Amino acid sequence: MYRHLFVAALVLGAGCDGVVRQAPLDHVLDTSGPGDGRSELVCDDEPDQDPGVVTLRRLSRVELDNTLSSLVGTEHSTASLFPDDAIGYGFDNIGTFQSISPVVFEAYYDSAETSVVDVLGAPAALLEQRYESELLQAYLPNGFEVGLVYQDTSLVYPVTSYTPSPDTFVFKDATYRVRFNAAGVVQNMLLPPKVSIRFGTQPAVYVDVSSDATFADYSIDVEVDAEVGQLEIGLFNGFTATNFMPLYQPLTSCTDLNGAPDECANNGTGDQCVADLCRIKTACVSDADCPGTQHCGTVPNHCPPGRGCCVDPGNQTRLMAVDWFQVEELGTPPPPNPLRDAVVECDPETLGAPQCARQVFSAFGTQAWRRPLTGEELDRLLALAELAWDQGEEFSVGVDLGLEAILLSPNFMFRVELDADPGSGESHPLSDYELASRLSYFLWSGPPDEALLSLAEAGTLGSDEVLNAQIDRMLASPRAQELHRNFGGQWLFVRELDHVAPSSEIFPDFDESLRAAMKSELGEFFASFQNQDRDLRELFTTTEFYLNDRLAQHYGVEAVGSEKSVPISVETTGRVGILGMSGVHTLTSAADHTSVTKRGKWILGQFFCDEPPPPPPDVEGLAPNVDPTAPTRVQLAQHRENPTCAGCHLYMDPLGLSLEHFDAVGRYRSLDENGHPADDTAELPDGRVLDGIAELGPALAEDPEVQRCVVEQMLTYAVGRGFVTKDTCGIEALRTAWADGSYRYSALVRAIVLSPYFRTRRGTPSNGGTP
Amino acid sequence: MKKRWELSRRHFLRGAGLTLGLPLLDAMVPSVARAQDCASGPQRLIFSFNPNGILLDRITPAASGAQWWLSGVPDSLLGLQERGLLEDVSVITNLENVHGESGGHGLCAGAALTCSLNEPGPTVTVTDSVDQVYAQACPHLPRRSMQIGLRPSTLSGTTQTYPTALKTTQSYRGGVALPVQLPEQAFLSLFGNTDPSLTAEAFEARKARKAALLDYVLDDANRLRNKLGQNDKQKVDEYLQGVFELDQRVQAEVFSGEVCDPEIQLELSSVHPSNIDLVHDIMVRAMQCDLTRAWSFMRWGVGASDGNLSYSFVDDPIGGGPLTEQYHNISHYGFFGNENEEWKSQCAAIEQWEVRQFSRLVEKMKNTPEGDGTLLDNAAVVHYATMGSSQYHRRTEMSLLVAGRLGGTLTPGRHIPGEGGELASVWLALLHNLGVDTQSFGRKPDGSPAATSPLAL
Repeated sequence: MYRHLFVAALVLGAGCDGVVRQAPLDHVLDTSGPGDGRSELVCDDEPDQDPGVVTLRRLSRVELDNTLSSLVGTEHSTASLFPDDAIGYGFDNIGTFQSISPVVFEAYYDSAETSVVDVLGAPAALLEQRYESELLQAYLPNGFEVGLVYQDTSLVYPVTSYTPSPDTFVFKDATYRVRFNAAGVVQNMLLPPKVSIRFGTQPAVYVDVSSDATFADYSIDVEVDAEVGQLEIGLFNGFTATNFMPLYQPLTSCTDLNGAPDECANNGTGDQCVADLCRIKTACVSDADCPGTQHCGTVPNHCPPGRGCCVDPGNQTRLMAVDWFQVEELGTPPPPNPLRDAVVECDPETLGAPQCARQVFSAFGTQAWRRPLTGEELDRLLALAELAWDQGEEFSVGVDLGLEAILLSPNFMFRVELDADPGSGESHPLSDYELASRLSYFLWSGPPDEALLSLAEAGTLGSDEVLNAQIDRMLASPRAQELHRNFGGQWLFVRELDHVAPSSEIFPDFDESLRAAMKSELGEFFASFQNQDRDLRELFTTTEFYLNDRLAQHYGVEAVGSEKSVPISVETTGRVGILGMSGVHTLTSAADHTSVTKRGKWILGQFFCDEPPPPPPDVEGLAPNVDPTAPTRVQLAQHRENPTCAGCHLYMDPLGLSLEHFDAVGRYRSLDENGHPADDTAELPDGRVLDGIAELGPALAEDPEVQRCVVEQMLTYAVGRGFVTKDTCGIEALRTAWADGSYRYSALVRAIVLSPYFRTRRGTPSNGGTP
Repeated sequence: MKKRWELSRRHFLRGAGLTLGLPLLDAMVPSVARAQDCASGPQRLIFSFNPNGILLDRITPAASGAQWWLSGVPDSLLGLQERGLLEDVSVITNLENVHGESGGHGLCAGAALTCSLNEPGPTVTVTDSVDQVYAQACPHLPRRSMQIGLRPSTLSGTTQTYPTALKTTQSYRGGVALPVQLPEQAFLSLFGNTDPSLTAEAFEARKARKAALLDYVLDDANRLRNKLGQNDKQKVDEYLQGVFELDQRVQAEVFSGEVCDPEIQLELSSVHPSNIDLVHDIMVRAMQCDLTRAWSFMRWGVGASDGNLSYSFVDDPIGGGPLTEQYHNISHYGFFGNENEEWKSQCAAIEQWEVRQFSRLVEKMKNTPEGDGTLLDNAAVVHYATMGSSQYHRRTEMSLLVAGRLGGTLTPGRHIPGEGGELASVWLALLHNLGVDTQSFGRKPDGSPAATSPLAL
């Protein structure tokens, strides 16, 4: 693209070429035209509008968030997982620039997992787990069988057999009911068999099992503090020995050191233990201390070595048989997850798991991939689910795996558009589904809705009439707010205001509320063009500004009585159009001073689509001496004496100078940093002299080159490729269509959507045809 | 068109039924050197980034060789002296890096660790960065490499001349820019995904599901790839390589009651630059756990040099108080042809601060025992900038610091005058010392290697 305002410079041949730019556009600009030095663009009536090569686009962060939110039915942001999107041609949605490094892929993986597990997750049911004796068997000490009553007293087992549950539970703060079915018998003992139950590291609780040799249900409720751990079942069972002191003392005969009733199995220590244990027995050290046939029994690990009580001879046994254990969490079940219910609509019980999962994948997949899935694609998803089911997992686990696969598939992450022949340069219409996605990601930064998908399914989306109706409908939707936010936010640098950092020493008034007000002004201003369908030329000419009280104070006008930005006419302040907005002044300044070059470069880049390249290398010694105390204008002129610098600065400097009346945070000023009177006269290379932004604004508004650049900016955003010289006439045709629509915002959108740039695509000819 | 990382086709054929459609990626062509010893004693290569340039006259010691400090320590290197690191670091001055067009800060940034210049246009075309060449030689680690940055670079603008990616990372591999990750992302990537409540059976079942999921995705990508044109295929290839790396990591996961505990409280500060020490902690712990060996760390993105960052936490050598001027502006202290000595001093103050941060990392590694020595004995930590003086975006008169002994292959504590030699010769030397068998490094504008003989370090 080239500059119309400055066409005279073209004749001079001193283009801002840098090292990258190609020679200027002799073939579109008729330099042999009338002698006023201005050249006209000469185009055919029906110029070639080559769709060019649009590289496969992956979802940008914003698009991914919107797409996921739309899929899972709730606000859902995973953008923070991702590295910043690469920006090319001014926007973050250009396929050529977007790369998928392993880091990005890993973020996608996390994002898919979070979406499915955290957002669409099946509600965790109340815990309920049952263990049959056959299953318990595997977890018992070697040779110990639950479910059998032990009669063989020649076997010696530990007093207690702890049986950790096979699973690790994540216990909640809740009450758990442990139930079991067991029968017990005793022989030569007063104590019944017992079951101990311990959650994690909490103290165990004990349940006596009746000694009547009859199976019965037992139940106990346990309060549990949330912790991860195992449920441990202990069986106080099957003990027999002659040399050990059997624990058959009545409970009342024994207390622990704290005075509580106890079997002294654990809490008693030392002599106190022996004394308590032996309250109704004789304490002993050896059999000789005991009367009659009694001998001296000890309790290893509980009483001191060599200390015990006198006991009767014979085997003592308590026995227990357990049929099953069951643990269940008490309380109200968690509410169903309506987000999941919207995705998993069928019931696997009635429909059968495979059939139900297939339905789920088909519906969710169509939304996610923005097209119907083939039968073969569904088969492969089902195979994934079946892998989980084969592992013994629940229905939901298999379904989740399939859902994750849908989100992780390149068909989700990329906005796939196919060419029948990728090696052909012939353009062809997009499929209706592809067109639906182009529309929705352009206007909504999100996926197509039901209406668009239905039209695509019916094959009727592609007609002018339907497209026109859809543009109206989509622009009216709240989702279209994404368009001005993402397009305007990037084109006009609104997002960049988050990062400006004026010097707090020189601009102590610059605070977060001022930053927010500046951002709001630019954002609301641009939004008004979309929401009120304004004439976009007013971008440069309006005297209506979006102020809140903070910004009004900054601009030195009367308070507006609002913390929110409201449109106010401020004709007396010297502010005209977007170039009069403090946000623009701030983001094109250095921290503590204004920069004519930065401002000129910004205007050239954003409104002439002709950002100058960086300075050439090793310009040291080339730069002429400049008097740093001279007025900026004089310094710049000295600088331009070097032809290497002049090539670009000839264009940048006058544009930047026209903003001289605004300081580095956008306050009006009459003196510049060096104390010289601020002079915003702009002498253009073609000899015209403009008096500041009051004259530059209207000139920009009416300049066809600027207008083509506005088209190019939105077109770039819409189709995701960069535009080059040879597209100039094609873009001019869009500009004309837009002008015929009175330069309305919607007319620009319409011109773009209805153009071949938007509705067709092509491959890359294998002979190396250029994009 | 460029060399990629080496992959074994065997890896790809795991789950053969699903992956038969796999393309032969460029990456699988064995073109890249392999480190001989990467499976034995771990050696780390760490790059610590100074935005903009490093002023030659402020960092060059008066003497060269060992014990150069006896003739005085330049102001920029005070950070080393303060932490007693003079004997642990070599100072290498006056190097050059691939002459050619300027392209500003972005092009210089893309050139620093690659010693190649990006071609104009939207695509990353620099050759592989030195950290990535090493990373490719050690593919078996949980992570091949880690790139950490504290300040995401959000640069709007048309920037049609060069890919913005050049400003967000220092690491490139196979034409892909590996973006910086925030410290919390880096932490989670390195230490996350350990669920202490998993039993061995559940772990294995989950692993099998993950592997099946990735197989599915790989298959999907291959099917899609076959329908696409050349441009689009490249995008899907990048994606395939992402799948592959993740799959490799999943396969390498082994159930173990013991995980390498990060032992770090991840407490992020919103105030820059308070997170720098946290990142150092993450790096050191991850090196102890041998999670990865190739690192690049940008305390800020190149955006710091191109945009709006002021070092307000650095004292202004001119008149005291915090520095207010943006680093980028200061670094162009010769704006309009006149050298602004105040700005140059401020620039030097920032460079001194950056060396101090580097010194903190080096000290931490020196205080971390490993084997009979320390972590620093088995590492090379490089502090560098992308230009010499950034006044005119020059890639001459460049300086850097190399800390550590790299398994005894380095002799630190010296000042090595580079005498205008190639920066690439330093990177080549490091690669050789790491056992990477490669003959050259970098690519000059004429296509020839930037260096074929290493500088003695």
